[in-house]
Amino acid sequence: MNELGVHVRVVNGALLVTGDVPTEERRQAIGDVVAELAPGAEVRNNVSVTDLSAPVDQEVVS
Amino acid sequence: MIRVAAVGDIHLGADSAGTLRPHLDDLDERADLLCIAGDLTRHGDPQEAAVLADELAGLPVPVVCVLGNHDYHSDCEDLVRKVLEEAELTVLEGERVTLEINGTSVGVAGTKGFGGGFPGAAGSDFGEPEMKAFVRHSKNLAAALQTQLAALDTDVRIALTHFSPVEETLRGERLEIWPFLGAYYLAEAIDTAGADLALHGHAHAGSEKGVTPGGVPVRNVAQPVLQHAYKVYCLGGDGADSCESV
Repeated sequence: MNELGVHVRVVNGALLVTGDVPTEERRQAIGDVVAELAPGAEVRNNVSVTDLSAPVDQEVVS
Repeated sequence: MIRVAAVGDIHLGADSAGTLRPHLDDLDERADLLCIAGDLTRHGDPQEAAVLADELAGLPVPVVCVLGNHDYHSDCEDLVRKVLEEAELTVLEGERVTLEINGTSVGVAGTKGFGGGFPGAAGSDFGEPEMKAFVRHSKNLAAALQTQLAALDTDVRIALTHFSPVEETLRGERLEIWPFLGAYYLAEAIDTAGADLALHGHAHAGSEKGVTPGGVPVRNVAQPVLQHAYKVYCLGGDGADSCESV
């Protein structure tokens, strides 16, 4: 998961999962996988779903 | 004025059908060209590339992309490229493409690039064969980028890579992994050949804006950084604040 920018670390005894994914389905799947790998552990799924909407602004570079 | 939409690290999987295209249907109202800075797929599976090809097929603007490290993971990068090219996407690896947009010529030179690090904290072409191969691979890709950029005789020139040419756009990533996120050889190539904009991805937790030592604007367009489907950069105008198409 690390290669996809998703990280897991222990915080106050719970497994904290962070990162960004494109869909809610992937966010839930990551939480499920972590829970499956660590039965009985508290899993806090803080993975964010990237907003895929079109941008509202532009940048004039040159 | 050329409006360049850019994004990287979209990481489409077999379950991604229909997730990207709805946000691109009006792209021609916002941009003249779409550049994708690698990591198009999750694991470099040609089936994932087929999902991307379907998502981008028939877009109203040209699409130019480079592959990223994820697109090599299944050792099927040639097939991934073939699938994308069959959908009329342009894939660059040590190559360039020239487009004519609204009377302005636009050149894009691209490579995946590779790691190696940055001045004072870089790998060197020394010692074990594996270390020399690592560094030489990075140098060779940067040299190809330089050659292709220098060969562009266009009004606007864009360098498109997956790995970063500068440290500035890696801020937010752990310092320890910066040598695996980019290499200064890319910045040297860009500065030597010249470019109006350098686009890269790979650093999901990095920062959007940077600049090469020679003054070329660098933008990290990894989707987790942009937090949008893409970002639009306007080039070749008169310096006005607006970004209207010609």
